[in-house]
Amino acid sequence: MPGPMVHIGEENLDQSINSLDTGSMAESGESCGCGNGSCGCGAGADAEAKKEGDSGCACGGGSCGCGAAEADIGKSAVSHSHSEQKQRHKTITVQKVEKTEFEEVNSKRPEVRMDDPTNSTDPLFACYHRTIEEVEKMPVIEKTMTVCPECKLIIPGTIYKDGDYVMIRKFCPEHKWATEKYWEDYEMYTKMKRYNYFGRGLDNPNYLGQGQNCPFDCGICERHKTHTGLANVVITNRCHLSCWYCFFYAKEGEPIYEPTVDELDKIFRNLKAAKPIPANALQITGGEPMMHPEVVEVIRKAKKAGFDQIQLNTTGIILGQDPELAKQVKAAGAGTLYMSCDGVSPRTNPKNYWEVPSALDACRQAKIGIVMVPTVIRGINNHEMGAMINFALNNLDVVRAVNFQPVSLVGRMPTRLREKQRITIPGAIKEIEQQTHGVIRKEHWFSVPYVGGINKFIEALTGQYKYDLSIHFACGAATYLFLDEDNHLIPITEFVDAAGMVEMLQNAVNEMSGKGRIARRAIAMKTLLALPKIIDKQKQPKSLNFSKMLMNIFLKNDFNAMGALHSKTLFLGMMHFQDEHTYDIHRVEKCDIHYAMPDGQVLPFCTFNVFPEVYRDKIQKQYSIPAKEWQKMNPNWNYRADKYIRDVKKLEQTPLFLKTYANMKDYFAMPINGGIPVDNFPVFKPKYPREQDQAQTIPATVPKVVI
Amino acid sequence: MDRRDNQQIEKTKELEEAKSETEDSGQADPGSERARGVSHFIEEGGKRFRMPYTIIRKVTFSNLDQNELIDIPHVARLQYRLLLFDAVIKAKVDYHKKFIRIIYNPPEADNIKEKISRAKLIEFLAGEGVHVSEAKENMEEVPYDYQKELYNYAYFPPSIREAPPYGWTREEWKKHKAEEEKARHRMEHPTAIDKILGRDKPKKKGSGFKLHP
Repeated sequence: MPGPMVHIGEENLDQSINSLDTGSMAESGESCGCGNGSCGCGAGADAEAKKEGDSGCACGGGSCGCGAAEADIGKSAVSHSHSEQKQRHKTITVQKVEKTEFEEVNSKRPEVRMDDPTNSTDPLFACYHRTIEEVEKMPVIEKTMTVCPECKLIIPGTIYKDGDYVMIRKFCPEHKWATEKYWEDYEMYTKMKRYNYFGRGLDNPNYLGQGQNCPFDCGICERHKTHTGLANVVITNRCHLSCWYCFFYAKEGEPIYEPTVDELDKIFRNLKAAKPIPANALQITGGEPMMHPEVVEVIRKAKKAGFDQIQLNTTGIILGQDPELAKQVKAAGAGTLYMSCDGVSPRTNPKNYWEVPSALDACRQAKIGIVMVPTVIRGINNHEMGAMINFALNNLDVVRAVNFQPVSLVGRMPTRLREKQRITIPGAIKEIEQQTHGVIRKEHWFSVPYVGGINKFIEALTGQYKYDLSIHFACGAATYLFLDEDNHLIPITEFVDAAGMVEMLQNAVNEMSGKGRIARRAIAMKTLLALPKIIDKQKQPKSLNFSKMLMNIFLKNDFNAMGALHSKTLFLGMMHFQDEHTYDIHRVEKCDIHYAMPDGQVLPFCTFNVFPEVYRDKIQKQYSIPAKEWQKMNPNWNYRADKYIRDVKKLEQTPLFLKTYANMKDYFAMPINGGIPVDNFPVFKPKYPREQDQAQTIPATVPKVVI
Repeated sequence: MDRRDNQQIEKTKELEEAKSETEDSGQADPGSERARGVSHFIEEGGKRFRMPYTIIRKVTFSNLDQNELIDIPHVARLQYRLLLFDAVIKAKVDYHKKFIRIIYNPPEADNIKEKISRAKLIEFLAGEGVHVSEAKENMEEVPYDYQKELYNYAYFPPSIREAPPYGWTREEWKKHKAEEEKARHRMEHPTAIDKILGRDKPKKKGSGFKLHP
């Protein structure tokens, strides 16, 4: 699967750190492993990479609030003038009990006195640098079970409020305290939580067990509370790219996992046999799924098995090169390209920046809708979120959605690097609000289980099971953005009282309980007739009659009427997958994005990918072919021949490239939308401009209008 | 030299080794069992499916000392650690019932996957602080048919429960479901009256509930 997570293994740790945009902190010195610079020694991230070795902060006590306190402080070889700060640190002691040397290092927390202005840290990171005494005084929101990132011990976790943030803290007897950002906005947390509810799970779970040792009892057991909403099926682990942050592809010499068409067909039918609600949306993923030699046949089988929605999770590079293949893919049944696309500049999107234009065009010709999927990493590409929405609006004829995925930091990672890269759903939403200058605000977003209010109403009315998005409220959020005829951008909640609607539907469900069919219909009719009250017709897009569309949804009892909505709008989604640091078992037991495996097991995304050593890699290995055997079977194959080699010069000189990037409009800069350009609007600057275009290259930036 | 260059050197060496082995042994038959990464296949409806294991072993150590298991979190971690062995297909450690059940691939099994002996498992458990006994009353080891007991269960799981749709109590739902089934039966086996009344025709998509019929 191209890039849903960042996996920082030991081998690519250095590279990931080097690729961080450390800004002024990186430039200011390399004496300390501290990234927040509060101690004044201000080192860059490179120093952190060395923390396992012989570098550290000479100020010793970790007073700067950096994760370097967890490093081997005693070995610090670098000296600098921190004598005053050292003196101050000496007065603060957190752990007073006697400990072993191992415990001493691991239980030591950075100490920051927040009442001392000289000790103030970057507010973004302050929540990581409290003393345990301070943390324990924070208001507790919820208790859950989580996992120790180091030893995988299942331990209690406490979700607590720290200023505006929602944090999770946990204590492992061996590895001591750990804290992590859970959500970056308490107000949004409480709003989203209102829509949380428990689903029904499967009547026929694939694995017999009650999940006492969750998440190590997985296979979709009795404990799981949500049916498969989106089924992922890996059809190959080969990939033509080797992204530094991706771990989901076969490296050289590793076994090749590529099930046959018949095996995949069996997996599809297994997903469709789930009760009471079979999977209906399928994502064919990899590796790079387009590298499977029989991918069209695989899609055809999936369609035949009964999936209504089939997505291809791909970089789009192969389809861009072969528009005819895109048409075949569409004809076989795949209607959506779930395309990795991490930014709108070469720096943020080295994966497929040059190939996106051809992929868009191939899909345009084949009439395949595109969901752009940026993996958002703080400090890497979070500054381009608004620009990515603007890019999608520029290609609204083919782009249906932008589904942001705040990064999941899987694997070993120094604390400080983690806190720099961490971004959660509200963090990303706030970035969008800032970058679009309030056109898309945080109150426009709703959590995914919000939709549950609608399907509960339909079930109560008809007695038929409906697709149930009962995932955990912290896993996803979404909104719709309408682009009206006059280029006015209108988020859906500007003209629909979404909260009021769900409340109205929930009241109707409560009223229907215990009533007969006729009474249920009467209640439903009364509710539906009241629905127009929740729509502000003055504010709704001129090209849309929303109340009519809503009526169609309820009266047809399916969501096909939503198709009309998609054709005039951009769906904005957020999906935040977990990692060991944020792990919450309440979330994983409600997961509805599942992976189906060749041994018949079905696994939630966040066990499959967070514990690959006991699920993903283990099961795939059982059904894989050793690289040497694969080579014998495919004499013309070799690892390097699989890899894509980009000709930047050639790509940049195509008219399509120029059309896509040079002539981009800034919808946010239009007076009707406030007139302020979106932040970081990409400046079109090809590395190899065409000679004939050099004179007439259009400056992409729009003059800034101050209101 | 950057990381990529390093990788390329290693890769080239590996490729050369792989190539030389390929040349030595000649081209493999693509249909051969080993070439598909497994030693066994099953047939269903004329189609072949890979089966990495056939008959393996299931060992259950019971009457364990609960103090050695410590508590449920430690038990879950022990289960995780057992699962880290490639040759352990499934593991279950139960704190309350004081047993450990391991489905593993023994050295004598007829397959080409990683293998582990029971002695190794016992040694590993001892290393984790859990001392199991091989006495008859404390240990049971039986053959385990991977295909029948694990693979087939996962592919054809029976229904173990039934939840009503939202807004319906269990009793209401049972009544409603019985009516639905009756209607379906009538549609499949219509009487002459049903045909006259049009009950043999499927309903239009949706519930048929219309504000303006």
